[in-house]
Amino acid sequence: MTKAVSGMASKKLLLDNVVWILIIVFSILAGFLNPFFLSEGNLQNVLVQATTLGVLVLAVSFTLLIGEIDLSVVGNLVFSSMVGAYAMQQFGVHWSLAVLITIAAGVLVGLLNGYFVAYLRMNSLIATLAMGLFLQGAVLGATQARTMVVTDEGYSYIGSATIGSWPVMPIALFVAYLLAHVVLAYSAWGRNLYATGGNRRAANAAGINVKRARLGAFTASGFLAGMAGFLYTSYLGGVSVTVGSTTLLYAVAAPVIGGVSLFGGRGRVIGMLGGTLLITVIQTGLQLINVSAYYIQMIGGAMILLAIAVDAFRIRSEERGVV
Amino acid sequence: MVIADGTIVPDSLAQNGANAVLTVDNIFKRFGPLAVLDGVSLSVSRGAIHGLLGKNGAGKSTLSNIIAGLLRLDTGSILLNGEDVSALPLTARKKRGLHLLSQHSEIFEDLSIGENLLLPDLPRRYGLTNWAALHRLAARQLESHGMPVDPRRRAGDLGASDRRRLAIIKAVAAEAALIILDEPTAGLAAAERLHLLEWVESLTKRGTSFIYISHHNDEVRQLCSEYTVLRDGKVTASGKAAELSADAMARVITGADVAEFHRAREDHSAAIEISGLSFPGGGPVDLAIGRGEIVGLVGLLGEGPQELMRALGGLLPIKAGAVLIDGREVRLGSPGQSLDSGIAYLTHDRIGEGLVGSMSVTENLNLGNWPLSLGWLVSGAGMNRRMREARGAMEIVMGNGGQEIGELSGGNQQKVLLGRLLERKPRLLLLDEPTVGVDVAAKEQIHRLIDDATTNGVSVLLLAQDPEEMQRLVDRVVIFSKGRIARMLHGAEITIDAIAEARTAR
Repeated sequence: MTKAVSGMASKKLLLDNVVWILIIVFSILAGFLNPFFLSEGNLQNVLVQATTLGVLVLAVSFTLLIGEIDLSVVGNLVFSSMVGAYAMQQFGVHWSLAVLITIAAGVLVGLLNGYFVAYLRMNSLIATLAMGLFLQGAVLGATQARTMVVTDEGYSYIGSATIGSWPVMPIALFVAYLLAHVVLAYSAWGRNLYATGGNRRAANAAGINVKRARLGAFTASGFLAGMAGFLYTSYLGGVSVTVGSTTLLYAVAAPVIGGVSLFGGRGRVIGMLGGTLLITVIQTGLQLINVSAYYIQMIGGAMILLAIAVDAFRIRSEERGVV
Repeated sequence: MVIADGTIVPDSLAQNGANAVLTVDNIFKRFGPLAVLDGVSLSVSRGAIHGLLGKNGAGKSTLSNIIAGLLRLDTGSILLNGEDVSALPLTARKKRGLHLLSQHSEIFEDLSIGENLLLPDLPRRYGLTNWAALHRLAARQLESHGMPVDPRRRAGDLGASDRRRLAIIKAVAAEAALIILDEPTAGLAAAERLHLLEWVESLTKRGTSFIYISHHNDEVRQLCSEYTVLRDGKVTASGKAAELSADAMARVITGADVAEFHRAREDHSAAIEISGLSFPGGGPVDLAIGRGEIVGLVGLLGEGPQELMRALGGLLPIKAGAVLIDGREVRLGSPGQSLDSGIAYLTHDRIGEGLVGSMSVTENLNLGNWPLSLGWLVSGAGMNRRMREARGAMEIVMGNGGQEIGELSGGNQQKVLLGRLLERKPRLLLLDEPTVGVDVAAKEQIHRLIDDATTNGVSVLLLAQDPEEMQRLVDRVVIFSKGRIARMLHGAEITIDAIAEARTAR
C-alpha cells in the first residue's frame, strides 16, 4: 500500500514537472548540435527573449485560472505601448509618467474585458478575441503601419542596460513572477481566483464575490499586458503593430504546457515560468542549429502538441488514480 | 423464515435460481478502508418486482451501480440470464437488457420526446433522420406503453412523473430484461405516485423484471413480490414480500448497530423573524424561529421549502419582505451578505455547489473566510489551526489537510462543509439535506453536531427527504403548499407517518 502510494507520488512529481525535463532534454540536444547554445551569452539571450513573452503568459494565466481566457493580450500590448509612446512624442511627458500611462492603458482594456465577461456575461473567448482585433486594428489605422520609434533613454533603460555583462531585462521577468507567486499562492484575493475557477457556484455559496473576482482577473491580465507593452517597447526601442500572431498562440500554449488547466482552478506560477522558458528555448535553439526559418513555426507547433499530449496523459492518470 | 432480534435469515438462493433473471453472488466492494458491500447475494425472478430496501448509506446505490456496470466489484459474480456479466462494461450489459434508471435519469430537455425515446438509433433515410418515421414509431411505442403523448413535444416540458415514464419506456422498448429503478417516486405527489406504481406493475406482464429501490416501505409491500434488505453492506433479510409484516420490515431495516440520536424537544424564545418574505417560487412567508429551535420544512419539490432556504441563503433574489435577527433587520441578497448577517446555507449539492474539487481539505474548510495576516495574506497557520479544531470536534477522518477534498468520504466532506459554516458563528443555519450520501455513522455524528449547535443558540431550518430523519431532529414541522405555509405540526403530532403524508399530499 505505502509502496504503491509513494510510487504514485513520485510519478505525480515527475508528471507535474515534465516541462523542466523537456527544457533540459531539448537544451542538451541543441547544445550537442551547436555548443554555443549552452554558453552564457545564449542563456542571457534566452532570458531576455523570455521576458516579454513571460509577462504575457502571466497575463493569460490569470484569466485561465478563473476558467476564462484573454486573447486580447497582444492587441493590448501593442495598444498600450503605442499610447505611452504617443504621450512622449506628442506631449513630451516624462518617461516615468509614460510608463504609468502605458500600464494604465492596459488596465483600462482589462477592466473593459472584465466588465464584458463578469457582468455582461459575454463569452470571454470571443469577446477578448474581438477586443484584440479591434485594438490591433485601431493601432494599424492610427499609425498607418509605421513603426513608432522611442528614443527616450529612461524609457528604454530596462530593455537595453546591462550590469557587468548581464542585461537588466530578465530582472523584470523574475520580479513579475515572484510577485505573481506571492499574490496567487498566498493572498486571499489569489485564493479566491483559484476557488472561482475550481467551482464558481461553490465559491459564490461560500461568500466569495465571484463577479468581482472575475473582473479582477481580467484587470490583472490587462495590467500585465500593459507591463509587457512597456518591456517590449523598451527592448526594441520602438513599437510596431506587426507583433507576430504566433506570439499570442505561444502566450496561450505556455501556461497550458506548464500545467495550468484550461478549465480553471489549477496551475502553479512556477509551471507558467517553465512553459515560457520551454517555448523560448525551442525558438532560440532552432535558430541556433540553423533550421530554416520557414520550418521553425512547424517544429514549434509540433513541440507544443507533444507537451500538451504529455499534459493530457498526466490528467488521465490523475483521474484514474482517483477512481 | 426465522425472525430473531430483528434479523431474518436469507432464503437460499438455489430455491428460485432456475427462474432467476439476475443472480448476484457474494459481492464485496470497498471504498478505501470502508467495506460498502460485505458479501451481498440476491436473486431476481423473471417478471418480478424485487424491492431493495435499506437506510441511507446501507449500500443500495453502490449495489445497483455495480449491477449496472457503473462501478467495478472487488469480488463476486453477477449472472444475467445465466451469463456472467461482471467483467462487461455498462454498454455491453445494456445490450443484454440490463438498465439502471437513477433518480435524475438523463433526458435531453431540448430534444423532442420522440428523439429521447429512440436515440441513439434514430430511423434514417438517405443517411438523414427520417422525422416522419421517427414520430410514427415513437407514437406507437408511447401508446402501447400507456403514455399517449405527442412525440414532437419538447421533453423538457414533461412533468416529473412523465419524465420517469419516458425513461422506463425507453428501457422497456429496448427489450430490457431487468430495469433497476432508484427512487422513482421521489418528489411526486401521492396520486401521481400511485399512478406510476400501477403502471410499473402493468409492465411486468410483458416479462420485464424490476429492482425497485425505495425508502417507502409501504410502496414496497404494495408493489413488490420479493425483497432484499441491506444494512451496513450486508443482507439482513430477503424473501417474499407478502410474508413480512410492516413492523418486521421496519425492524430489519433499522437494526440496532448504530445508536440513533433522538433530540429532546423543548420550547424556545423567538430569535429569528421572517415576515412577508417573497422569492421566486414562493411566498409571502411569515415564520418565527426560536433560539436553538430546529424547524423542519416539508413540501413537494418546487413548492417552496427549498426556495425559501435558498432565498435566505442569498442564492435566490428576495422580492419583498424582511428578515429580523433579534429584532434587527439584516441585509440579504448574496451568499456573502447572508453569511455576514449570520445566516449560513448548507447545500444539498455538495459536489456542485459546496466543495471546490481542485482545492485541499484545509482550503475547503476555510473557503471564502480566510484567516488573514497583514490584512491580505492567507495565514497558513490560521487555516491549519481551524483544521485541527474542526478535525477534533467533528471527528473528521482524513489523511492530512493538504490532500484533495475529493479523497474524503461523503460524510467527512459534509463535516468539512458544516465546519466551514459553523466557523462563521451563524445565528440561523439552513440545512438542505444535511446527510445526503453520507454513511450511517457519519449521519448520527452530523445529527449530534446539529444538536450541539442549537444548544449554543443557533436556530435551524431543516429540509430532509427522509421523514424519519426529520422526525428525530425537529421541534416543529412547517408544511408548505404552493409556495406558502399551509399548516404546522407540533409536539406529539410530529410522527413519521404525518411527515410522510404531508410530503405527498397537496
